[in-house]
Amino acid sequence: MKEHSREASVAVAIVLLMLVLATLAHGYFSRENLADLFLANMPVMIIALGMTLIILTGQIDISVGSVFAICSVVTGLCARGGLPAVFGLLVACVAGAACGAVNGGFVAYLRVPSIVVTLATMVALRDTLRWKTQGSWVGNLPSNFQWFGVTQQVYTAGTLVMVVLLILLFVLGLRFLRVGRTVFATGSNETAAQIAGINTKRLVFTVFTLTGALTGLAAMLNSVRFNQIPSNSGLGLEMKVIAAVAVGGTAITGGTGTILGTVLGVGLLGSIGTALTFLNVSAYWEKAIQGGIILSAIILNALSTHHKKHANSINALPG
Amino acid sequence: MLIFLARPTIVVAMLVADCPLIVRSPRPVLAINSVTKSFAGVQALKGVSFELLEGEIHALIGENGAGKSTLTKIITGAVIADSGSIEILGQAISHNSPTVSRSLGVVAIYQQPSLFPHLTVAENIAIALEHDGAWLVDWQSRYAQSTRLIESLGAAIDPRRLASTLSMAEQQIVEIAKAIGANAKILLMDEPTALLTDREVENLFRVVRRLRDDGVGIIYISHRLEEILGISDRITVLRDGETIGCHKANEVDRAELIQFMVGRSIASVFPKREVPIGDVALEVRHLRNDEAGLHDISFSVRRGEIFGLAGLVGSGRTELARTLFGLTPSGSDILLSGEAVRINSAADAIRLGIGYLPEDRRQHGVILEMEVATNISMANLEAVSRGGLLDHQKERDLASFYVNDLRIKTPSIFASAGTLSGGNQQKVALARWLAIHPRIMILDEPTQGVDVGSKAEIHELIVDLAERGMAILLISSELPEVLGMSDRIGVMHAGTIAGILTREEATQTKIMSLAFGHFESEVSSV
Amino acid sequence: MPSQVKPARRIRFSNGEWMLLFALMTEIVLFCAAAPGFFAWTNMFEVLRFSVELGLLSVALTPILITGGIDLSVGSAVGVSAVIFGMAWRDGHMPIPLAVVVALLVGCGCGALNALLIAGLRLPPLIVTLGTYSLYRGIAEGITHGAVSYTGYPKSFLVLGQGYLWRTVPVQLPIFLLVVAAYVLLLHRSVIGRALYAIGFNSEGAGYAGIPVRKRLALIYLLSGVVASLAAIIYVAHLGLAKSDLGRGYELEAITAVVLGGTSVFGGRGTLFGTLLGLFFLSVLQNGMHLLALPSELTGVLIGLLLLGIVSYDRLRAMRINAKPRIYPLSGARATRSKQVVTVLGVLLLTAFAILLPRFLRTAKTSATKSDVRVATGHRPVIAVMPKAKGDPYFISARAGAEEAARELGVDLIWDGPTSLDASQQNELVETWITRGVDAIVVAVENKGSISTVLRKARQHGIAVLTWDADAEPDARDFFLNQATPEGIANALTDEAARLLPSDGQFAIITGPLSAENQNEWIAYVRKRLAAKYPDLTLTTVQPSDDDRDKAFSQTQTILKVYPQVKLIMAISAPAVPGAAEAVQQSGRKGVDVIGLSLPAICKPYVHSGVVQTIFLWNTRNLGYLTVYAGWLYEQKRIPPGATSINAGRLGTLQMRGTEVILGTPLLINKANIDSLDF
Repeated sequence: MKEHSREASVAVAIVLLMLVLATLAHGYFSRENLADLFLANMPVMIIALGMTLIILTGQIDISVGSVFAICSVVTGLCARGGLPAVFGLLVACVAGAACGAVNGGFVAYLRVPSIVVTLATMVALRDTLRWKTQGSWVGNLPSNFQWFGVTQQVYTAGTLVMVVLLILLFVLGLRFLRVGRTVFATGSNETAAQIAGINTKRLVFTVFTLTGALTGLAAMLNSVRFNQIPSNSGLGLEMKVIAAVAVGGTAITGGTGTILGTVLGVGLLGSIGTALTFLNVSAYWEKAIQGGIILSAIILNALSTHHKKHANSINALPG
Repeated sequence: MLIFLARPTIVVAMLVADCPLIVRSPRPVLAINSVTKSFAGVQALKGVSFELLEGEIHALIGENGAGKSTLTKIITGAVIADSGSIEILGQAISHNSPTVSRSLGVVAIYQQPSLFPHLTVAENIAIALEHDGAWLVDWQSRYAQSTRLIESLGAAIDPRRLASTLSMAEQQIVEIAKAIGANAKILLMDEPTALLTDREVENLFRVVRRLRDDGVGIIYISHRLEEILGISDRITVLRDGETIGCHKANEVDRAELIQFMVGRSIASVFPKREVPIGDVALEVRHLRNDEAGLHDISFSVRRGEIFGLAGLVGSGRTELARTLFGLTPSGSDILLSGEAVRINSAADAIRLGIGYLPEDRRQHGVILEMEVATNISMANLEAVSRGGLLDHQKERDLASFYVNDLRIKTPSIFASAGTLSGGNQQKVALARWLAIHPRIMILDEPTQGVDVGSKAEIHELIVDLAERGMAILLISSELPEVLGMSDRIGVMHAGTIAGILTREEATQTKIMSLAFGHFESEVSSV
Repeated sequence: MPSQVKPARRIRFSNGEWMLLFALMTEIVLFCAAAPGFFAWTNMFEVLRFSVELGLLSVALTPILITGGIDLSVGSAVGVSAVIFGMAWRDGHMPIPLAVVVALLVGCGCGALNALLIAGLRLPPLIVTLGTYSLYRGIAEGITHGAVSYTGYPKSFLVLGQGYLWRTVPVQLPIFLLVVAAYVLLLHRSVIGRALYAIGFNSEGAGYAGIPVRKRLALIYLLSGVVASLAAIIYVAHLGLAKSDLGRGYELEAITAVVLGGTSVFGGRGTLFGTLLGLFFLSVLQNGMHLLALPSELTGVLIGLLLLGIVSYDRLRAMRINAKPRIYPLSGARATRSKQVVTVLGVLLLTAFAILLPRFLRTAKTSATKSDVRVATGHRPVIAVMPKAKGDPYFISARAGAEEAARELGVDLIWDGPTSLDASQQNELVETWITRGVDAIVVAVENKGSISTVLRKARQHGIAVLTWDADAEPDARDFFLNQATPEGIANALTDEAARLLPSDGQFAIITGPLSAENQNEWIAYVRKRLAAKYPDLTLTTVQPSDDDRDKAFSQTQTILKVYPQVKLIMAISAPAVPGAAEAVQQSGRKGVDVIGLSLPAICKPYVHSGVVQTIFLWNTRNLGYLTVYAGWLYEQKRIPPGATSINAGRLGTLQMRGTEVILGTPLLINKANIDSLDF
């Protein structure tokens, strides 16, 4: 199964980390901690699914953090306005999708480089939100806002099922849906994809919009864990998501990558912060260790694929 | 080339009327009537008419800039005509687009196969198959179907291989499989054989003929007149955006076609002259390069000598060139004028006076977005700079000199190379190497995809260079070119030189038998 | 045959650059007309001074983008170079020049790692530098524990960032110009620059032309690291301090400037001139917006929109040209000129509209209410108040009080500050306020060392300078509005913790960002108090929350699990208290208390549910009220020298101690009084 060799290095890293934790950190694998870990990383996981698609098509989106913040506030405003949770969810998804559609429109139809578009929207959206809210939190939410009015356990279980379903949907969709194949095709060779009759513009647009909607979903699911909503959430979220996708082996140039890899990447990066506290490592070094992990994952990935490339030296870069 | 003589077929026999044909049976699958198209005031097509019947191979020839590519773009819907009419399968098309033309069964195959390198063969084919609107993909049946398609073409390619591991020829076969899978009624082939060796071409033609016999209309575009005469039923000649004529393939010969295309006759095709052969300029002994898959290569080239290098694609010719030029260093010594040197990078090679005109002009030969002048000075920046800083005046002088010397047709030395025709781009690429005053020049497929006029000029130039005492290593897949230009010919097979023939003893048959060794090599198994 | 090929004149200026130049000019003209004090050499030089660090990074990024690469790690490289510089000087006792060399070597190392991975291992630059972006910042935080800030540099060094040549030209400007000149030579005149463009267009093709692609790539990434460390040194001299968070977010700002300047992220196209234009466009915009007292957030919105506008305009133009065969590129440019002018004018008008409309509305609104005051006094004072960060709930509640006082006194209030903690932006704002000529400046100081110089300058200009929330150097301000000393806060918190915990209890602290100055000071005093008074209490761990409620939440969850003996969480950042409280509540653990510093409004539910025992705070609304009131009093010369008390409007009489106005002791907020507080 050569397709999975890319994920192997991440999987090995996770297994190593788990072994260390199992021997040294008591209680890391308690149900309670795993549930907390899951909830803490759930937004990154959901957004990373969309980001994987974006990166597979050869694009990138660094505005998800700002979109996340906007959708959180929108969720809160809906709830305070008395809308039922289901509507709030819908509105958050629509708001996210709208932001994503703006990104996607510029990228797909005006062919502006995605990093420039999303850099611009990242700054503009974040500052618009700051301007409008002046940093104030959305409070006074109805009592049935938190956990959708059900118990914490039910919410956690429900979200878990939802995320697992989403992951399955993406794994199967990429494999068995026509549109799934066109994602790989577009990232692999866009001209060829167009010649093959794939509407690559619409695809790129859709992928950005979908990621926006997923960001809205993540924002909503995350917001209901609390009873008030800060207006500055999601700072630096984009870096976490992109790092997770990249660590999971998706090529930043598009064309190759798997959802499984992304799930593993989120798992590795998401568990490391807590793991360090469990291992009594000073919090001051957390960021450095995360950077180190990202780098080693990419280097490992590259080394394992370099071997393959040498067999086919015609593609090697001269110089 | 004899091996490409057209087989008489029923379809050809049915083509009785003169061109343009009055429709009887077989019916035309494509009819284009007095189409015009202009870009920014330049008239690319001035009323072109063209007709393609079902079960016909119709060649489209013309020099670069004659309007072939504009016409194909109009057929595929990539470009909309200014006036005139297009009928596909008897249906008048008012608003053509890639989607419309595809839905009617128009499929185009380009010189550079457009596969998805990260996907498998089966997936590549499957993407083309999916026009049934199904949301779900049944991969089991897809794999089976693509295997069947590939087998039906008489090729053995594992559908699970990644497209990036396929040879050029295999990629072409997959392209054709895609076209068949997509149920093509009209197949457009633009220089499909440009990167193939003769053996592979033969395989390809067998497939193409089978398609024709199944009733597919095939438009075949190529610069290789022998091939065209061999495979096509009819030939339409374009010149300066106009249809010059439409002829049955068995009623014209090569010389006539050239005359139609250029409006004049070209007397000698290969201007080979005898020049005095000097000392040994380049010698390799038992060269081995594992990364490039080369082993035990020994040969020498003398000053003033043109040493042809023949062989199948994948036999290691380009790899040898890249090794000599330092792009895939071998780590072993090479003798230059008797002196042992080690070439570890292209910069080393240039310093030692080796120039390399690469095979892929658009990707490697010139940088399309950059100006003609900067392209020419690219490999010799030391000569146009002082202390690492560029002297723009010197650079302009250098560029102007070569633009005049090589008669490069360009509006200005500041025009970007991408705006020039293929032949002129190739001359710019050549000028870059002449500017370093090389002792040894490696030319890899120097006339590939170049129109007839420029081709002759480039041949003339090669002979000139030899006359000036340069040692020339000429790689070509076109046997007549190798035979016509070289003093000696080395034939490569499976990463080594299988034999060296002198000009006198070399024939097509001898070259081919050396090229194949005594067994069919892996690459040509298609 | 074209035997006569006449070299046509080369056009070095692209259309995008013309357009940007035009936009810059218009922007300048508009600000000249609208913004007080904008058009003055001193202001222009200040603008330049504040663009040097960012400018250096943009210049270093330009060749990288031209090769089709990217370097996200430059901001972090600034951080790590700065702290190692400070460390070498203060802890290593090195002379400044040696420390400079060490810092440059660190930058070199940062660049070298990127170069090794990108050019050596051929990894994609985006991902590599995303990794080193975390790594370098992490190293800076690790070695300083986020907290240490190196200050107290000799004057001779600070001149580099704060001094003037011939009394007008900022010292760092010639250095910047030298670097620019070197890069212009490198990129536009040298053989290497030519190679970089070729690599950007087609790196494979460049390799075939004998260009040592990997060497060239390695060089520019290496240089980018070195330039980042140079920027770090100037930054340190400019602010007078070295801290681990210097240069945070600079990478994206620098990329914005480069892209705005017409450099394509696909590689091959772009000039340094364009980058400089982009940089000045951003700096002038920021300066003008501050002078006009428009909210800082608007700048971000405008920059985002302009970036989108200019780049998509460029793409549209390119698409139009690509639709035709490019016979001759120069003629194509001419054909589009008229349309281009129209578009330029359109963008400009929109910008002008966006800038002038709010100002127009603002003057229209206030002119009605202030007419009576103006009649009385003939001059309406302008009082500028700066929070540490605009988005912080704590400062937002103070703003309400400030506005109340401004209405009451009939003064104009400018309330502006960095959108997130940023010492350099505070300096920049004070500079623009000096230029604008406000009557009083009241600053919540983020970093004592870095802001004092500019505050002294404000005093020299006859502006009343007060500080609030946190003090500057005593000689740099007239008065400090002291709501509570760090020591007082820390003691109150520690005492409360001791009250709630058993005598040998353990507790944990959730702080803001690791590098937050205030919090670190508090933590230091907490430790001191523990050692002095409660030797049996244990501070088990300190975890950062980055002022992010969600992060505080998960940190608390982890602490509860890892340290079950911890019975109290002390959260000392406003968003951290509700985060920690929610975590304790969800854990279902009884007997774990949360105390901290936060606002009643966001803690109310947890105080009521009993999770949060106590929060400390002074009345922020009153504090905000006091900022404006005291500023006004002093500006009106109503505080005589040696006064022992002031009469602060509805706050009544407040005690003074020296040059400090005492607001009162911190409020202890609990179940009993929380509902009576409205902030």
